[in-house]
Amino acid sequence: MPDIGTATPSSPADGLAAVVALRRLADRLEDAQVEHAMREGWTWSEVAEALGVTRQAVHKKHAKRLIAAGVPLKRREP
Amino acid sequence: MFGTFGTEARKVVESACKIATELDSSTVEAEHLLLAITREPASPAHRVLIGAGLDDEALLHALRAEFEASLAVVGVSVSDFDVTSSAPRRHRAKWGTSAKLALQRCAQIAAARRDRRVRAGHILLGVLRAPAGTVPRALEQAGVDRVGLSDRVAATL
Repeated sequence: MPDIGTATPSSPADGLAAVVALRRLADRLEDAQVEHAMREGWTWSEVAEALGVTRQAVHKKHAKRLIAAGVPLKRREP
Repeated sequence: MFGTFGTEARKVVESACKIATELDSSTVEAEHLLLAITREPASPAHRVLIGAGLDDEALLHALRAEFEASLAVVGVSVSDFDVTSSAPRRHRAKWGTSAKLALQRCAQIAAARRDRRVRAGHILLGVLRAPAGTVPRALEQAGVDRVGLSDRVAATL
């Protein structure tokens, strides 16, 4: 983890562009990591809790694509 | 009535939505409109872009470079993350603010010129005249003279 002090952008344009790029990166990371968790047998509730969002939100965002890719999904906690 | 979207402009807008989904973006942004124009070979706007060396591949490369450079500003490297997912997004990308603003500028440009029909060139001008954001940064890094390019696009209208 870089020291945020030394990583402070020099111009507002660079700093704001970094925010945009980080959001995009986080978005992609979420796709990859939710898929990983579901393949490992996590439930939607667990993934939602870990992400700090509702089960409905995570389901709405990821269920369709994971089903289409043939990822086995756990519906309820055992 | 000025500023009705013609077939050419409509195709660009539809194609931008497809490109956003293809690139796994949850929103359609100004860069997707730009990519859509590079993939719309029939329009004069497309010819201006190609003349400036901005084909699809060059543009994707410039956008990637901008993404990496912006992350580097805060000490983050994409290669540190595994962001590969075998399950691409399925839902339609929503309209992002940068694309909405570009289309708003595009409509204003067409209205100011009293052009009845909005074409790809108007959309391109709306994208190129953004004061800040991903597209201006990517073009700057690719060494593109944005003002000169805008002038050449305006000359085709």
